[in-house]
Amino acid sequence: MSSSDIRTLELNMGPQHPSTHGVLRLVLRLNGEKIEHTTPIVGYLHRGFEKMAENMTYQQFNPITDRLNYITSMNNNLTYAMAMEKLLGVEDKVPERAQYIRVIVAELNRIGSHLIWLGTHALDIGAMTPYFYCFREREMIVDMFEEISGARLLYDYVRIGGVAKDITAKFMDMLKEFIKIFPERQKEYHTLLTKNRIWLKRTKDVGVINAEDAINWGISGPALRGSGIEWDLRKKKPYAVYSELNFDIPYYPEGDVYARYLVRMDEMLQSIRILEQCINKIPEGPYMMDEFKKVSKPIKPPAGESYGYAENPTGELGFYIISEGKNKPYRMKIRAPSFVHAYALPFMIKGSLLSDVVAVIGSLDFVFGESDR
Amino acid sequence: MLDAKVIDALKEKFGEDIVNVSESCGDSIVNVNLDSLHDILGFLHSNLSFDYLLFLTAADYPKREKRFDIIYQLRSTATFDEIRIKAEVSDGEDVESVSDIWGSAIGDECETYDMFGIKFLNNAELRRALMPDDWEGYPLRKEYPLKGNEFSDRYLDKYLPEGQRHQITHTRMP
Amino acid sequence: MSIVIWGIIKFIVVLSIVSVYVLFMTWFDRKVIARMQNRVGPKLIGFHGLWQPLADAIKSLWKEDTVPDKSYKFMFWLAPIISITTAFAISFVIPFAPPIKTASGIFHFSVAHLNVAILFVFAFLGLSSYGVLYAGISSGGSKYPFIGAQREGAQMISYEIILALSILNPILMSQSLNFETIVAAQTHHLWYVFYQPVAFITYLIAMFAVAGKVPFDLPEAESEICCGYFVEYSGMKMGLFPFAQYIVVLVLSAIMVLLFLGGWTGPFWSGGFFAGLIWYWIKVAFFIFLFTWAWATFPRYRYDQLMDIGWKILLPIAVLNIFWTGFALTVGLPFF
Repeated sequence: MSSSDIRTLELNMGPQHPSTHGVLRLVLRLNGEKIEHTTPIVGYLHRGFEKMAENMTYQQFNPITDRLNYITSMNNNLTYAMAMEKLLGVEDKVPERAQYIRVIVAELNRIGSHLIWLGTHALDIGAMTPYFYCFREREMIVDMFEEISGARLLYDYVRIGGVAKDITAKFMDMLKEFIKIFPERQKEYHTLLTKNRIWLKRTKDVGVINAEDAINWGISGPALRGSGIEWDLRKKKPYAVYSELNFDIPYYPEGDVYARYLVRMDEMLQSIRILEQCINKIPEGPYMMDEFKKVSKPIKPPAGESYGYAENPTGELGFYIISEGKNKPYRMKIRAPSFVHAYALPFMIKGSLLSDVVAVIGSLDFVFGESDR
Repeated sequence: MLDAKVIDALKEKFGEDIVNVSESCGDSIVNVNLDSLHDILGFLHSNLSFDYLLFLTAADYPKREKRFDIIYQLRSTATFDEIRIKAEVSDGEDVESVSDIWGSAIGDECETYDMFGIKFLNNAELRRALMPDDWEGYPLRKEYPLKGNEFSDRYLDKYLPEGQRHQITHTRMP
Repeated sequence: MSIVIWGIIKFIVVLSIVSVYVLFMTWFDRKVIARMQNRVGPKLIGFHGLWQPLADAIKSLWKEDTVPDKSYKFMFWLAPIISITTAFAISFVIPFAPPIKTASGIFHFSVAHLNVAILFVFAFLGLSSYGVLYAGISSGGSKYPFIGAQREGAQMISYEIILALSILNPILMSQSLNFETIVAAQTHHLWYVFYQPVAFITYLIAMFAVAGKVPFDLPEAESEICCGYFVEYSGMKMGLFPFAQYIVVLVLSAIMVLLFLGGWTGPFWSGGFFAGLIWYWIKVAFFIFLFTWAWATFPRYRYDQLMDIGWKILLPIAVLNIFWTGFALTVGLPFF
């Protein structure tokens, strides 16, 4: 058989596929099971948020940000609120208690998001059990959020100028219990996966991207730290009250799926550290700036533009807002980490096998509500 | 706040191509000529270590003669500086792609093309990023309607029974 | 004449026992995995959800049976039939209980008491992969089944060799291809697992691969190729593939027990028909449980890693082990 007789197979993976995490579609050109070329196609969940933003007031858009990455609603709210505060020039006037509450909910939601990531990632590689263990702990987090915001998935809790409601004593009790339980529970995941030979074989040296390429492809968040770059916006460009808190940035130089796995596992424990400090440090005081308490009162930022960003569980989420001094933004661009990662995927999976594709997709933690906007 | 050295280096190298330097909400904005945009971005990447392209997008100003602003937000992972480069583009004008400088530009250029109809030269994979391939119009242009065209084939509401159809209205104001 | 009548009776009995076993095996799988995962599992229908498999069977019978337009209809129909028939055929040579002596001779608890039972098992195990291959190829150019069938073909070829090579050791030691003779040979010595630990382990690994269960469930890796070869199937036709797989699991576990673990012999309570029966089924049930346990515990291997394990590690070990057995038997080492 001469080489010209060998034909490649075009495989359409997604948008309905159990491990493309929603609606990613990949058109793969396969040689045997080796991937020669990949075309990522996103947009099956496109709802036109950027167009919607141009026709909504600033407060009306707040609940829409929940729908970006629906697993990390709190972090999305926080990022949007920070971008707006930057645009309004009131960054320093946000009450300190509100900032602490924001950090608490953001870190809790980070753990929640990482738990879902861990469960689905393991499920992609074929380990079914961690998924159910992860949801056991996530349930505690969701219960806590229900206590303070009344919702279990889309919270709309962090608002421009503070947070929607004050946290309750019951919430603090639940939080303390969670902090006590979680490190023990996390050891269970480690026993299930971290030193499992099959897990190591499936994740080590798979989907490798080195530091230089990772920056070139715009990769951010835990995936960037998995490539050996000590980069965390919470440390490098501190926002809220992160500068007063003590925590480490976990990073691993290998740049493969296993390194990204370890980064996220360590990050959960760092979040617990942050939460412990927040409980001790949280001051009394107002939870919202008075001028933003009324949602019906239109916000009219001065003409200008701001780019507000934060370290989200998936990567760097950013809101670029152009204001013309009206009560609606003139243009809003959302920098979605999943969108950037989706276009970096072909580079990462080139030459690997079909089974590695699902491992790499899992390790990048895609959420397509965010990518497609 | 951006180091003044960066602006000085840019001005020294490109002189008149730097149209305007301004600041808004603590972000530095540099307006440049479209002709030397690619060179300026390449210079920023290789000489001034702005190695991270945060996003690339456009904004539509229909009343202007050159209606689009094309916007690049760059970051340096070494110094943590951020800079925003803007250039004016008229309708139908092509922009040189920066996908040879940053890999991540491919996706963003696809999206900008999809939403504004700005074509990028030398981007091998330029296609509609979010909308279907055969979509008509560019959604983020200001004249694009907020809701669907009643007479279009794509407007599925028209197949609903008479009573269930929605009145086409624009989003309300509070 | 009585042989024919007995044969028909045995055939019907075994057919129904195996079918009922498969039904309740699905319940067992779901219940055990649920317990391992902090869940309750089927609960509502019957005592602890015991009638759930029946409800599932009724539901899948009422499902719409779709056949893709582009498929090769004949092969598409044939594939599940091949799978299920070969699986049942294997189960007909497996003894379900120790033989009992009657006035007219020895009564065997297997439909066909063959002197070449192991050969028969391997012939039909090889054929059973044709069901999967046909399913993959006949699905009208659908690509996931095609990849699944490719994987199944490669996997079966690699691992049936290892399975056969590891079974060769007990056969060499007992000089027989008949299950009951092999079990009888083990009553004179220790169980063969003590003589042949390496063959035991290679058989154990190859058993998972041949049955296509986690961690080697590559032909139907649901998170990679969406259930592989039976993507295009629906209703009862789809149900027949897992059905056949469960029978293969039973058969492989039974062979394991018969060849390596002394069949119906037990350490302290032996003799008697019921003692044998209980010992035999305890051991078989353990291996069936092992399949479920692995399912809940392990991630899945990658295709090339599976081939590496098969051809680079297990095959040389299995071949060397046969040389060792042959050497030990020829020289007449004390324990052989």
